[in-house]
Amino acid sequence: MMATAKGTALRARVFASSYRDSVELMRIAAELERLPGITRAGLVMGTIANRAVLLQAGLLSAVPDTAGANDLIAAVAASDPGLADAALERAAALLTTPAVDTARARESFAPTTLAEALSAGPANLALISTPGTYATAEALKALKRGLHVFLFSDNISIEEEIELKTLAVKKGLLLMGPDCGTAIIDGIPLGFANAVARGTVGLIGASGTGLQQVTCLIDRLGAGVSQAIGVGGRDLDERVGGTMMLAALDLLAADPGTSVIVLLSKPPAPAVAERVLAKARAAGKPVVVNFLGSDPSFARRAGAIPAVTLEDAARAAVALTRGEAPLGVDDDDNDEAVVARAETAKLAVGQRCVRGLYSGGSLAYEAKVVLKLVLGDAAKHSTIVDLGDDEFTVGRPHPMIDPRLRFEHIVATGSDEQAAVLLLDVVIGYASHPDPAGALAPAIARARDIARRSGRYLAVVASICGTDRDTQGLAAQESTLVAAGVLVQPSNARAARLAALIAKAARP
Amino acid sequence: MPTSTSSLAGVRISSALVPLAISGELRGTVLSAHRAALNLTCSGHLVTCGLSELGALPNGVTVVDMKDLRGVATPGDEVIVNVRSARPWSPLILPLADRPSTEAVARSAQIAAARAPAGGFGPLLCSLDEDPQDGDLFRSAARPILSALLAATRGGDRLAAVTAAGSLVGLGAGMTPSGDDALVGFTAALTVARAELARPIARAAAEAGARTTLVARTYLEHAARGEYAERVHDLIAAVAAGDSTRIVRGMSWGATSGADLVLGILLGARAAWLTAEARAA
Repeated sequence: MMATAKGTALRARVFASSYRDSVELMRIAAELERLPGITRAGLVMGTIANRAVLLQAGLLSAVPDTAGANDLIAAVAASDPGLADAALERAAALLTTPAVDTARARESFAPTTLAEALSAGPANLALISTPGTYATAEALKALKRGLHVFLFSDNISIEEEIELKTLAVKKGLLLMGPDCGTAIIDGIPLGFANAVARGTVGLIGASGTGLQQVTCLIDRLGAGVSQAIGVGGRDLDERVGGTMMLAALDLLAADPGTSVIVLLSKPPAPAVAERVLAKARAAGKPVVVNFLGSDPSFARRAGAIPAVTLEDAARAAVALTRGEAPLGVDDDDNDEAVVARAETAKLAVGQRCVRGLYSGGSLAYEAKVVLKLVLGDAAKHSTIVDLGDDEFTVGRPHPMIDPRLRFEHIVATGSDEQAAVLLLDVVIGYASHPDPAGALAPAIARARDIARRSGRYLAVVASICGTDRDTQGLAAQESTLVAAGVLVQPSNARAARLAALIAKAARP
Repeated sequence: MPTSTSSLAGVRISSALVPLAISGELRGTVLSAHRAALNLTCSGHLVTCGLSELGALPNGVTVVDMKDLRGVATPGDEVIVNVRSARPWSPLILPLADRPSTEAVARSAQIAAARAPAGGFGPLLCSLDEDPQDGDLFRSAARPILSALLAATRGGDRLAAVTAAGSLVGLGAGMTPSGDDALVGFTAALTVARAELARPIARAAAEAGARTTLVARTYLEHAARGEYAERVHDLIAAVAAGDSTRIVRGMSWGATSGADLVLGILLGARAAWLTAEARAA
């Protein structure tokens, strides 16, 4: 991405015969543009066509004529010459520190095999994050050594998943995954997780961001989490049979530190749901069930407490820990309707769609469910895209780690004549980007500006999945979004609902 | 003087490189080292030693798989590649046996648009007629050139087509600029359809090769001889068949190179694969 520069100081540096792929160059340019005083940065190979683009961007005058097609040019515009020089120093540091060196440095302090790791001291859990080709073998080794396994790796076949889970059950161990994004075991976060209070709500989820959302809301409601066990998105598939959710239910039923159990998943296979709910009934503890988009009466008939949204699940669980009735969220929120009406009034004719750009898969799925509930058939005009899906992340980092992919999609929404509302999730916590709101705010501003110049208004609604104990800080993230004109809602379900209400009353 | 000498074993070699390897080995100096590829200069040619995941390259030797080629050599080192047991592979692309159906090409365009990446020329897969208005100067510059290339090729305007092709060379940020990747895809699509302007356009792009990176220039020079990477062969077949799995897999190549290649192939298909009636429709 390179746009026109507005700066007073121009500086450039040439890195001779330096080859980097475009995504890496864009990542470094984006990092430079986040530095104080930098108004524009460009890193390109010094081809003639690229020099023409630098000229158009107002960056060429600083580039020496000697730079050739095989040389990499870093050029910046800044409010101050010192800041421009500092940015180029940063570029040089980033370009001369190959990623492999960092990895090697880390490796020198880390064991390279399971056996080496175990020789360093006692352990009862292995976290496996290797390419899928090797992950099954590593997981088998860990299970055979009596370790629970958190299997972050994906690209593992369902047959291998069944084999691993069958062995885990036989040995009385947990196999969390594959493609397991989130867990909190005995207070220790694994993968993408949040800093939440310890408490007595135990969760089992076939859904990473679903677990994150519910654990964060439990924390915000003043309660805490005993265990959050991820089981992998396919666990409730008919072929896997809910093996790990059933095993985890046994563990939480027997856990004296757990008083209420929450089950989370996208719609399971009916036969599997029946088995899971039968086990839940026998748990001897209240069980809250959120199978997103499923018929709640099914769970109710089985003696569980159904929750339509992830927020409902958190509220019900917290109420149950306090011995209160598990009430849902009040859907007739008057403030929400007032805000929605005010936003709708600003829209132009033809703006009637919600455009959801998500980083969390379960959050995206929940948004679709809520849109369908509020808009009915009209929900078909709206789109909710999970940018963390495999099809968008091949060869590039997940959008929860690197917001650039979403940045460009957000900007493109500004040109979408039918877009009434841009709906976003912002996921903070362990492993997430250090400042996702700060990274997205300029894109939001640009999208709104593009819409405004075409005589349109673009409403932006978001929720933040996180807590104030997360290093990014819930309040700080919220302030950044509010300053960017975003309507920040306390949960994803409420954000989706507000977005749907704004679109619902829009003029077609 | 090289700082060290390393050896590699080749398992597959482009037949275009065989004249350089008559002694049974290729000897070169490392120009750049990447996880899955080492670029060497061998007797003035750029030769890529790649892992099997790259597929065969017109200027390449596929070497015995290992974790990371950066551990083998660094820029300036000498590398000797033993190719005595390597199987030759022909990079020459062959004409399509049958004219692809309009439906298959339309399906391929839809698949590519749905999976378009945000970087490189990706957003142009959604529409070439409208500026994405995302502020990206590379795409803004490329869009009218690509439109002109398409129109000139369709209209048989040789001068306008080669001028447009020359303007695309070197346009884009990375190691193989998007403009060059798109040109490789475009000329491959024209070549398999035996289009009259296939060679003139490919030759014009290769002649402008001094304006781009050495890696991209090498691909353009091979394209001018009708030689393409295995992934280009595969993408041509996938686009002709409307095969979503292979198109999506091919688009994941590199940072944006796969998507830029597909853009070029689809434009080439619009210019040369479809009948006049289908184009009008």
